[in-house]
Amino acid sequence: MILDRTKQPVSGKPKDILFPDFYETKFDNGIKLFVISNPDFPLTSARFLFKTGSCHDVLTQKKLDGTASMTADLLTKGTKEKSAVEIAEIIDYHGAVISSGADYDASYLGINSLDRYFEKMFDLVCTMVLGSAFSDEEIERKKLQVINSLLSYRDDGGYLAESVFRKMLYGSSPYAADEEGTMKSVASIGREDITEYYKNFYVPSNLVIALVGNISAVKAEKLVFKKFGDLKAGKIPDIKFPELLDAKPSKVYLTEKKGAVQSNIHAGHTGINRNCLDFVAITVMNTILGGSFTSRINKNLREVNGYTYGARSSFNWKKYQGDFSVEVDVRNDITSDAVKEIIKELVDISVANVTHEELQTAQNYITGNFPMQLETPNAVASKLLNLELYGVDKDFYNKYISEINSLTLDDIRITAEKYLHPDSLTISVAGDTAENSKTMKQFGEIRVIHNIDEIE
Amino acid sequence: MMLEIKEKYLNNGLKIVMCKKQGMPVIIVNSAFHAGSKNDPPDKTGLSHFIEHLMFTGTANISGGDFDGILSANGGESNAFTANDYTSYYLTLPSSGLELGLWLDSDKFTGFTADEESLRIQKEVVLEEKLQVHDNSPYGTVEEESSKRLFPSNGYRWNIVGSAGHINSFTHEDVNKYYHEFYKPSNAILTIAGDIDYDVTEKLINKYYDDIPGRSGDGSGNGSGDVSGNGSGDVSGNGSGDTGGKKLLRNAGEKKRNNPDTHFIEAGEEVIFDNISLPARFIFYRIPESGSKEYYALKVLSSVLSAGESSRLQRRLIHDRNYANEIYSYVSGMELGSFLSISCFCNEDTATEEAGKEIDNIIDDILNGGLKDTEIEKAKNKIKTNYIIKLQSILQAADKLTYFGLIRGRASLVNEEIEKYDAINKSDILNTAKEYLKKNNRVVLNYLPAKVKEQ
Repeated sequence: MILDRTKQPVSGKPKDILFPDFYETKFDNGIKLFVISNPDFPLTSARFLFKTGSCHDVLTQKKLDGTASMTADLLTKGTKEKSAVEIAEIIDYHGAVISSGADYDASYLGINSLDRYFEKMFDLVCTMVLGSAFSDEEIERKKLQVINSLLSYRDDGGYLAESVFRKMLYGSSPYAADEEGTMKSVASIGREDITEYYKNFYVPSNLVIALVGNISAVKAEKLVFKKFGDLKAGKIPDIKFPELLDAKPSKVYLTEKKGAVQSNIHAGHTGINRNCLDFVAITVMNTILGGSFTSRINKNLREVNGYTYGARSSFNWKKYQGDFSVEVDVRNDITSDAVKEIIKELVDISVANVTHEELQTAQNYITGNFPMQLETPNAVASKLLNLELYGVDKDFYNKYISEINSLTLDDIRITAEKYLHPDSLTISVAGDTAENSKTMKQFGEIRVIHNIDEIE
Repeated sequence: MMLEIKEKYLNNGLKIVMCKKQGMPVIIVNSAFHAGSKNDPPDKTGLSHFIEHLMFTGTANISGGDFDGILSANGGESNAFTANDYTSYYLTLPSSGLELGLWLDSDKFTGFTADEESLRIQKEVVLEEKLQVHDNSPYGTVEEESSKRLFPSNGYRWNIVGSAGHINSFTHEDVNKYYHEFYKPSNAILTIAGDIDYDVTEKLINKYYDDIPGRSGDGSGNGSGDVSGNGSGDVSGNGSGDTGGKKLLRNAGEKKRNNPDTHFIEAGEEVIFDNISLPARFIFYRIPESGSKEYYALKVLSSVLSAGESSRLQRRLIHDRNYANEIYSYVSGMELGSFLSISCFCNEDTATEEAGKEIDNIIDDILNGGLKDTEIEKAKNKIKTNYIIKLQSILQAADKLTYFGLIRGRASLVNEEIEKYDAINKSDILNTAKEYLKKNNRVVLNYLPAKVKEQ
C-alpha cells in the first residue's frame, strides 16, 4: 500500500521541560557558587565571572577604552610562579581548553578539561584568578595583537556598520566604545592601568563561580572554599550612565567601505536591559518580527524579495542600556529598498495585531527550541551566570514557558508599539557611499563617514 | 564514551542510523545525499548547493515556504549544508514530533515542485550568499584561489556556491536531472538521534521511507554518484584525470593553458591583492583522502602545529616572534584526496615571506627529527577532549554519524575515532609528513593589502 503523503501527521504534546537541578551557595565574602553536576560525559569545567567589564573602563584613572578587556586577556598569560609559555604547555598537555576575555558587563575565565585532570587544572586557573603577573613583555605583546585585530575588523563591512551605529547611538555612554578599545587607547594602556583595574574590580563580592560536569556539589564547594573562602569581600564603585536619547527624526550614517559589492545595514534604536519586566513579551514579539528564519523580516527580505541571504532583528540587552537593531547585507543597488521594507515591518507589527497563527508559531518555536539551549551542563551554567550578572530571579526559567504561552495578540502589539520606534532610527550603512548617498536621503539627514578614525 | 547505534538498510537501499542518547526530550532527523559540489556539472557549478536551497521551497506534498513554517509551529528548526562530497539536511524537534519530522524529511524523495518564481528568488538569495561569503568578505576568495590550483582536474576545483554566471543559467531541467541522478534512497542516509525508542522509530521509518522507490543504477552503495564522471566531461580538464585515492596531482603544474586568467606557477607562490589590512599567507599541501592512515597521522601533526598556545606555530609566530595576529592549521576531510592547510594572518608590518620562512623552518625541523614524543601525546589529548566536547551535542553527534555512515561506510566508526588517533605513532607522522609536506606538493597564496599595490 502506498502511503498517503498529503496528510500531515499531528505532533504530540511536547514533554515538559524542567530547568536542570543546580546547587547554589554564597560565601561570607560575597562569592557566589553554582554547581551543575552531570556525570554523562567525562568532562568538568570551572567558570569564573567577575561582574565587571569594559563599561567600567571609565572608572579607572586614565579612562582608557580596552583596559577591562586587556586585563582579562592577560589573566592566562603568566602568574607569579609560571610564565605564559609554561602555563600554555601544562594546559595543552592535558588537552584542556582555556579561555578568558571581557565584554561590556563582565569578565570571564573558564577551563574545560577531562574530569581526571580537573583538580590540577582548577589549581592552575585559581592562581590566575588570584594574581596574574601582568608582565610588561606580555602586555606589549597583547597590545600589538589587539591593535592589529582592531585594524583588521575594519575590513569587514558588518563591523563598520555596527561600530558606527553603536558610537552614534550610545554617544557619551561607556557602551559606545568597542569592548577591546581603539587603536589609540590600547596603545596608551600601561601596566599600572591594568593592575589598577584588577585591584579595584576583581574582588570576591563581584565574583561568581560555576563548577560544571562530572563533579559533586560537596566536592565543588570544598574546592572553591579552600581557594577563596578567606578572601576579603571588597566593593566596586558605582557607575552612572547618561540618559540615552534616540535620533528624532531618524538619521543616516554612510560609512565608506572600499570595493564594497554589498551594503551592510545596521539600523535601530535604544532597547532594554536584561532585567526589563517585559523581557519575555519582547522575546516573543521579536521572534515574529525578525528573530527567526520564518520571521516577517527574513521572509520579506529573503523569501519574497530575494534581497539577501538572511536578515534578522535583535534586542541586544546589556546591564544598564541595551539597543535594538536590524542587520542585513544586501547588494548595492537595493539598499534603500531594503531599508524601506524594514521600516514597513517595524510599523506593521506596531499598528496591527499579528495573526493568531504567527503568535502560536512563535510560542511553539521558542518553547520547542528551549531544551536545545539546555543541552550541555555548560550551556545551563551560562544561563545561570547570566541571571546572576543581570540581577534576574533564579526561577526565571521555571516560569519562562508558562509566561510565553500566556501572551495574547494584544500583548504583542502593545509591546511592539512600546519598544519599537520606526521614526527614530539610527541607520548605519557601510558600503559604497557615493551610490548610497543618492538613495538614502528619504530616511533622514545623511552624514558620510569616509574613515572610521573620524569618529573614534 | 560510546554512542549507542543501530544501523540497517531498507529494501530500497536507504541506509538508516538510529542513536538513542540521554538528555533533553529532543530529536534530530538528519538526511544526507552522497553528492556535493564535486558532482556539479563543470558548466553548472553551484548546482548542488542551489538544490539544497530549493528543497525548502516546495516538494510534492509540502508547498512553497511551508516546510519551515510547519516546523516552527511545532517547535522545530531546520538547516542544511552542501559540502564538496555530500549534502546534508537536518531538523530538530521535540521528541513528540518524530513522526512529523519524518514526514517532512521523507518528502525530499518525492521531487521538486519549485516554480519559476521560487527559482528566480532562490537564485537571488544564493547570489547574495555568494557576495556575503566570498566577494564582499576579506580573504573571501581563498577557497576559489586555492581549490582551482589544488585540484585542477576534478570537481573540487570550484567554489561550493558556484560562479554567478552558472547560477544565473540554472533551469528546471538542470535541477531535475541532477535530482534524479543523486537524490535516490541508495545514495542517501537517514540518521535519527536523541530521545527515541528504537521500535517506535523503526516502525515510523518504515512507514515513511519504505515505499520510496529505488531507482535504476541503484545498488552500487557507497558513492554511486561516481565522481570520476566529473573530470571526463570537463572541457577544461587536462586528461590526467587521476583524482581517486592516494595518487595526488603531481603534474598539476602543467595546466597553465587552461587557466588563462590566473598565473599558475608550479610549486610557486601566488600574490593576491585584496581589501584587507593584515597580510596573510595560506599554505595548502595535497594529502590523501579522509579516513586513510595518512589522514589521521596528519591530523595529529596539524594539532602539534597549531592546537593551543604552546603548539609549534602559535608559540613561534605569535608569541616568540610577534609575527602573527592569528595562525591555525587544519586537515580537510575530502574523499578524493584532501589537503592540510596553514593560515597565517600576519601583523600589519610583517611580510608574508618572513612568516612563511618561519613556518617552513618549523616543518623542516619536524621532518628532520625534531618532533618530540610529548608533543604527540599532547596533540592526542587535545583531539580527545575536543571530540568528547563535540559529542555532547546531539546535533554534532548526528552530523558525525551521518558523515561516517554515508562517506566512510559505517556510522559506528564514530566510536572508533579515538582509537584511530591512538594508533598513530611517531614514525607514521614522520613518514607521512616527508611524503606530503613537500614544497612541490603545495599551493601558497600570499594575500596583500590592495593599498600596497596602489603605492
